[in-house]
Order: sequence, then C-alpha cells, then structure tokens
Amino acid sequence: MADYRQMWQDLDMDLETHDLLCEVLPQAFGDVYLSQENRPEGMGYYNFVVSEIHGVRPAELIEAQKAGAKVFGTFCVYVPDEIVFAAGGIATGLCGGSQFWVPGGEKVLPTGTCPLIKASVGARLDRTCPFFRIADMYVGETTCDGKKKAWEILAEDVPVYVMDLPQMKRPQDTDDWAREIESFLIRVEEMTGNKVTPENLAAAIKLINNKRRALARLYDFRKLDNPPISGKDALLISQIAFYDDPTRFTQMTNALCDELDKRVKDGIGVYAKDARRILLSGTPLAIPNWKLHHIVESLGAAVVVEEMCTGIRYFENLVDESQTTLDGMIRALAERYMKINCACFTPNQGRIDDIKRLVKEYQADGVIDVNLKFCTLYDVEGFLVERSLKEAGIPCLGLETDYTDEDAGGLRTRIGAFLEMLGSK
Amino acid sequence: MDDTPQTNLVWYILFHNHTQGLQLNTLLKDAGLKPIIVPTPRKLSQSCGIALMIPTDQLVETKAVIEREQAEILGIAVLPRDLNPLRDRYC
Ligand code: SF4
Ligand code: SF4
Repeated sequence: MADYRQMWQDLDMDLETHDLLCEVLPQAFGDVYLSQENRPEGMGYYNFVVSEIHGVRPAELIEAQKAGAKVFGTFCVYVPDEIVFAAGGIATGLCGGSQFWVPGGEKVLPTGTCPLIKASVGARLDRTCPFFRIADMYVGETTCDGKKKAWEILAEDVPVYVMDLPQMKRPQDTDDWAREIESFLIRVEEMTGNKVTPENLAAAIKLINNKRRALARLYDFRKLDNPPISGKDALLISQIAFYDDPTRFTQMTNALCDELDKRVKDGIGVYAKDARRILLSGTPLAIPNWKLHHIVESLGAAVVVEEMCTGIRYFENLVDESQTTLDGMIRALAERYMKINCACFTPNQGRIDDIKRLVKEYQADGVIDVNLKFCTLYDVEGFLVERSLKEAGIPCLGLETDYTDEDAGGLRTRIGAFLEMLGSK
Repeated sequence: MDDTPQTNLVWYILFHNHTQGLQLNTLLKDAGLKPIIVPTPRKLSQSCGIALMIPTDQLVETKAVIEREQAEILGIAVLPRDLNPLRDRYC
C-alpha cells in the first residue's frame, strides 16, 4: 500500500482525476480475476504487477532515467523494441485500454475515433497515467488514419517520432521497412547518446526473442485439452509483456510455465470438461480491457487464443539470431516484423490464413471477430474474415465493442447465443 | 449462477510498501499457507498497491507466522467477500 503521491506529483500528474482510476481498479480486478477458482500460484506475480501498476514499474523507469537511460513509449507491435534496448534505452507500451481516459481524448479528437486512440491521447493530455508522463519520446507509426493524425496532436505536447510503415507486403516493402528501421536507429542513437553495435543489437534480439519464446511456451498450454490456465489470465500476461522489464517478465513467465507443466502432469485444468473453445480475433485489447474474455469465460467457455496484437501477433516468429553484421540484423528485424498480419495492410490474406491455422492448432470450436468501435480497418476486413471462415465451415460471430460497461449485457446475450449454437460436446 | 455476492469474510494484510508485502507472501507460502496478492481494496485505503488476501480459516496460522518472523505490516483488516463476476463493472 505504498504511497506514490510524491512521485506522481513530480510527474505533474492530475492526482485527483487519477485517484478515480485507482478507485475502480481493485473491484474490477477482483470480479474478473480473483473470482476464478483454481488459478495457478504463479499468477501472483501478475497480480502484483497490476496492483502496483502505477507505482513499481514507473519508479523503476524513473530510476533508469536518473542513471541516464531514455524511455521510449510505443503504440504498435511493428515498432522494433530491439533497437531501443540495444542503445541502452527502455521501450514501454503506451496503448490505453480504459474508458477512464476516453473523455480526455474526446476533448481534441472526433467522437468517432476508436477508443484505443482516444484513451491514449486522453491519458497524455489529462496527465493521468505515469507511463505517458515518463516517456521521453513517443514512437508512432503510419498504420491507421486515426493514429497518424493523433501523432500530430500529441507532438504538440511531447516529442514524437513516427515510423513510416509500408501498407503492402511486396519485396520492396520489406526493403523500405529495413530502411525505416535504420532511420529509427539513428534517431534512437541521437536520443540516447549511445551507439547501436552488432554486439548490443545481437543481445537485444536475444532478449526480445526470449520474451517471445516464453509467451509461445505459455500459449502452447492453451492448445491442450482442458488448459491449465484461463484465457483471461493469459491475456493479462500478454498485456503486461508490453510494460514489464523484459528479463524479469521472461523469467517469471517461464517459472509460471514450469508450474503449468506440473499441472498438466497432474491432470489439472481450469475449465469444465465440456467447455467450448473460442478463438478471439481482431483489434488489440490493451490493459485493463478484460471485458470480452471475462464475459466469454463467465459463460462457461474457454478463450484459447487471441489472433490479436495482445496475443499471437506479438510473439509469433523469432528474429533470426545468426546474423553478425548490423545490416544483416536490421534485415532480419524487418523480415520478422513484416510477418505480422495487421488490417492496415492490403491485401491481408495472411491474417485469414493465420486464423484458420490457429483454429486447428488450438482446437477452437468457434471464432469471435472483435472490432473496436470506429476502427474502419478491422471493421471492413471483418467482411472478408467472416465470409472466409464460413466457407471453411468455422462458426464465427462478429462483434463490435468499446471500453464502456454499457454493452456488457448485450454482449452476454449475443455470446451466450453463439455458444449455444456451437452446442455441447 | 446467482448474482448475489458471497458473504463470507475475507481478511487483508496491509503494508507500508510492496517489499514488505512480497516478503510476507514468501514467508506464508513457505509455511504452507495460500495468501493471494491483490490490489488493496479501496474501502481499506486511499493509496493503491498490494495487500495479501487471506481466507478466514488461515488467519490464525497467518498471524502466528507474522509474529514468529516479526514481519512488518501496517495492519490486518476484514471485509465481507465481494467478488461478483456478473457485476460487469470494468475499468
Ligand atoms: S492492430 Fe495493427 S496498428 Fe494496431 S497495434 Fe496491432 S499491428 Fe499496430
Ligand atoms: S484499433 Fe483500429 S482504429 Fe484503433 S488504433 Fe488500432 S488500427 Fe487504429
């Protein structure tokens, strides 16, 4: 129950408004997470991270800054953290997943902007999130139109560097992305005052690959009959991966996986034997957005995988570790990141192929394609996704949601009907 | 599922800082108990940060460990159990 007030004050935060968020978090976390039976003990670490979310990690970042490190805030899984860590910087995710920040964003953005963008802008401008205050530089990207314009608004308040992400996947686009990573590297070097060398970049590639390996190991448990960990716990871990110290995160996640190994041997699962298995696909679920997982799982079904940026898009595919030159490593980074399948690309058949592959790998009975309200990219792509899944005989439900509580009842009804339609095993 | 919250009691151990909380968590686990790290309920404190949630049937043993190890804590508090998965209040 530490008192972080002084730290927040030093960050020039709006303490009174921030306090309102502190007020709702314990109850929501209790209802969603602590009401579960039979959770792995290793979840204690992630409970700790959430409980101290605006305290412990921000304090660590501030300490690192005092020692001369720079903190880079990112908003998209295409931004290569490896470059930042190689230069002795720290990358931290900044996507806003709470309705709490949305009204602040709406002061400057049209209401018809996706909640993720509104929350991210609101968290900065309203001064209610320590991470948004701490970051020395924000790293944006040219993914969707809403974000592109939001960078211009944020840049009036904080240094913003924007990476120009290609929107197609031809060979020349991977070349372009490699060049863009090179330019980013130069900017990061300027900002940190440190050179990126083959040695420190190789170490950073290993560091982030190890985080990906730990997450892949975790997700493998969800492929099993009656997984030893719930979907919402896995989501929480995925969300924390964006913020936490990568070395500690990897270590704690591997320790949890050791426990899960034991659970599997002892035949311990967290679901009823006949629980329907759901793949969630679509827009990201930034922390603390737990609504959909919670609703699906409180209806007795299991979320077994997320084809999302807070999910497999974050950890699938490793960066080739065999490169020895800077150019070779930058190329390897570009190739790995261009394998992510986001709706901002055209065409994006790779995402549909991913969903079909994941349905098999994770033995999903059905897919829920989730769209954050006002995200045109995923909304439009939903037509192609859902048609293709129907053709393949995979039951699919398309849903639109935002960060408010108001649609929870409606979502329960629609998801409940979908699960009923899937029938019992 | 009925949507009335369960009304049995839950005990919370409160701390000055998270280091104390993590230390006691380890001590209790070593003693074979099952504390759960949770965000401190708002009703118990204006500050945020961790508390340890203790089931009523482990309270006596928990207190014994605290005493034996002279663990530093801020206090022990009790609340009716109020975990309601159907409340649909998110943050
Ligand atoms: S959905 Fe697309 S734009 Fe958004 S974080 Fe993921 S990859 Fe980036
Ligand atoms: S969810 Fe869609 S609109 Fe929102 S930031 Fe991501 S790509 Fe842009």
